[in-house]
Amino acid sequence: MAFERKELLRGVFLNTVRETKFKASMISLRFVVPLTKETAAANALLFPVLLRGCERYPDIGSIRREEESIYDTGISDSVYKRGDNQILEVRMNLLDNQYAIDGMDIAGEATTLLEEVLFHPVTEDGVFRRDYVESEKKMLVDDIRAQVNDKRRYAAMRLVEEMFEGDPFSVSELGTVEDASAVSPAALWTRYQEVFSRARIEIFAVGNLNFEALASRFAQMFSAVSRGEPYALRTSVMRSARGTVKTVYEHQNITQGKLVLGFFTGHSASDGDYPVMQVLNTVYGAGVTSKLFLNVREKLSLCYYCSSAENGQKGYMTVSSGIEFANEKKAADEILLQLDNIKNGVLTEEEISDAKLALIDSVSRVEDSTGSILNWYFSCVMDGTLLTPEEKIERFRSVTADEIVRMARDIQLDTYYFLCGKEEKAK
Amino acid sequence: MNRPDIIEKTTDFGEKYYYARHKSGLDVYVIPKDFKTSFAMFSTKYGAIDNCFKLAGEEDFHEVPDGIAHYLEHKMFENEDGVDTFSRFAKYGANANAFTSGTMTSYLFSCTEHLRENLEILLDYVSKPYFTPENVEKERGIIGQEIRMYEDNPGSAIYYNLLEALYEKHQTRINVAGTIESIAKITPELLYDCYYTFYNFSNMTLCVSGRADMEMVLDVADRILPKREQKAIVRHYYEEKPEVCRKRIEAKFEVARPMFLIGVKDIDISPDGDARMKKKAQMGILVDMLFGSTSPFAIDVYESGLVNGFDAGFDHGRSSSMVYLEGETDDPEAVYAKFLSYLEENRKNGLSREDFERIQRASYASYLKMFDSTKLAQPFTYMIHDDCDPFDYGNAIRAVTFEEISALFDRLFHENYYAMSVVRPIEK
Repeated sequence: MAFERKELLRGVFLNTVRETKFKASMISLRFVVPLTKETAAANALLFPVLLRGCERYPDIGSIRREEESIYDTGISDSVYKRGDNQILEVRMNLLDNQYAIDGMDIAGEATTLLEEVLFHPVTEDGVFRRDYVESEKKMLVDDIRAQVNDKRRYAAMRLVEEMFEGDPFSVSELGTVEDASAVSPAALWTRYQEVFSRARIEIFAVGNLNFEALASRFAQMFSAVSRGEPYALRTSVMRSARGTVKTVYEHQNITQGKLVLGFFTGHSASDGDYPVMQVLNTVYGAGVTSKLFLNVREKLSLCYYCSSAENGQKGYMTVSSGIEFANEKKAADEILLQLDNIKNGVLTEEEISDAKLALIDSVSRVEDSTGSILNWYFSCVMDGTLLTPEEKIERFRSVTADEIVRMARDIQLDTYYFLCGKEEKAK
Repeated sequence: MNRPDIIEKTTDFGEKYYYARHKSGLDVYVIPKDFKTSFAMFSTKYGAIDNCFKLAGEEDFHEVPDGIAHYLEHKMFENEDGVDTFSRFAKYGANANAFTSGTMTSYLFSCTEHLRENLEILLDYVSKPYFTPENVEKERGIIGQEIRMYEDNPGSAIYYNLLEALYEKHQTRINVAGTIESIAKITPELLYDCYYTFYNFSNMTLCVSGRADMEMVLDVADRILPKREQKAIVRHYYEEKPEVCRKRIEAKFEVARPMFLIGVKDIDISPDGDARMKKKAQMGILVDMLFGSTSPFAIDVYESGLVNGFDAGFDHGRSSSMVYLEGETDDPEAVYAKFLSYLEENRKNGLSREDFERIQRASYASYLKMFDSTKLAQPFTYMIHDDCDPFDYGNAIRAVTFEEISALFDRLFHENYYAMSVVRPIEK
């Protein structure tokens, strides 16, 4: 797994990882832009609108048929947030040329299609077609509204909104209904120019591809835009909690309550000692040998799931659990007690070694899929910590109980969120 | 020791697997892959639909409460010495899990080290049931919360509602987790009865992908699996008529926009595995031609904005077969009307040969991409349990003809076979 990285143009990087064991390779383009309330919805619309039609394939049907013809090489788009940045991605999963029944150059055809889609959209009055923009806006608005459907994810999202109120990170990667509804074709066109000119663009090619050919192909592609001053991308790590815990109760017509607690850890993935936080989180609540699983679920039978997750970009941790409304206090008490236990050094060598082995196992398997290789090296270049999986494993091995206890003492509860039934009262 | 009874099978795209029948009756498959990750799946042909059964020679059928296969899966993690199964795996860095479906219960792990030790744990804990009144009682709270979680999940409700609309009696209707009421009836005795019926090794498979070799796997099976009598199981499933039971079913949830799930019931299921595999390959291509991302239907509902998140798929297995279409829309009846008129148009004008050829090639490409998965043993197991050879499926896709597709289209789509399940927002 040989990783190489070079800057093709100002702020446009090509990252390559050669790996020959896969039948399909991956090409991914990630556009990194600042996450702001004003631009989030328009940014989220960009790739969906581009995928509606280009000069050679002017409608979505002809684009999709072309994708299917290239051995089912769909161009999939996604948007998510990472720290105070919004990531806009297009990605293709390319069957290796050797499996083409008719000798097609799959990678070549797919790259040509990608270029068409990204650089030659169909236009009307010099901007995106109005009907395409309106139709994608409607779908985005529906997606934003549909966030309420999945209660577990909805509760997790609401916790972040409440906990990071006033901070860029509270902005949804999809934007708001109001902002999405307000985007005009001309405004989206301006966004398009700005994103292509100023985003940090991380191109990844993973698998068995001709990287030299891709480098010149992408350099030529992006030379069509005049690259301006790249965005200054920064993420503020939250280091201290507000003096009191913010408590939020939300009521819906549901049968199971969703409890989500937000804690500030004050530690960031760019810190050399962040592996300590990852071991801590695993001991505490990630997985089936964790304190939360063994106590809140197995010992007290309060829930089906109760788990923690750490976020190394913003320096926080969450715990979420689905419980009977009446068990709210019992569950919350136990969740906090288990954290206090770690702070007080109540943890065994066995717990620590189980957690390390789980983390080492998950890092060891990075090389087994193009997607996980992509995510690994993307995190490395974003966090500025270029490590191989082997180097990361060594860091996990060296974590000690003392370090875990010390770091646990930095963790403070900040926000308490409970999604509960219509009749429930705050306790 | 060289085992003469190991069968090797290869493909023309560089894959191979080994098969052997272990003396316990267990079917063992090993798929070597050059991955750090190994993945093992130990499965029984037993799921939520098997609620009425007897052993060959027994007089009466046993009828058991809904949700018991899933409850049993949870309880297998309990051990007599009190050591938790997950913590046994944790010592060797494995990531373990289990799941239950309508037709199967699977116990699995993946790991990057210590495959042999982890395999020993897997075979050991699944072959040693330990149910007591106390540990069975303890699980009721946990599974109760799992059921409640799904009760708030519109995606789960819309699916089970559709099954109720499609099927009058057949056990496919049964919710895998059961209900709060049905799981209240589960006892250690019932769990043991189900266990000793369905967890006999001739009703099970072990499938390992990754850096595994068959000799080692058989060696572990030799050492760990207890001697157990092989039993023939008689299962009773209710007969179904071809027509759906109800045309519409609705529920209300806290959702933003109505959701629909249209189902096409199909009771034409061959008892022969090869015949099912052929039909499955045909159905895959046909459903993609009619409702896949490049179909006129999918493009139309997308461009008109009628449906958001449209998806279509199918299921064709030993016990049930259906085509489904789903998405979010303000007007489910308009989608349904479009579905009817679209099929009518296709009936009149015939299917497109050009679409067929493009989609057949795309289906073959997506079949090949499956072999990049570190969890290859999972789709492999599904096919094995359905009596298909996974290595033959690619050729089955390539062998499908346009004429077969057209004939299947005529058989599959009739208005009496359609039902629609709808979830609407609660009016505030």
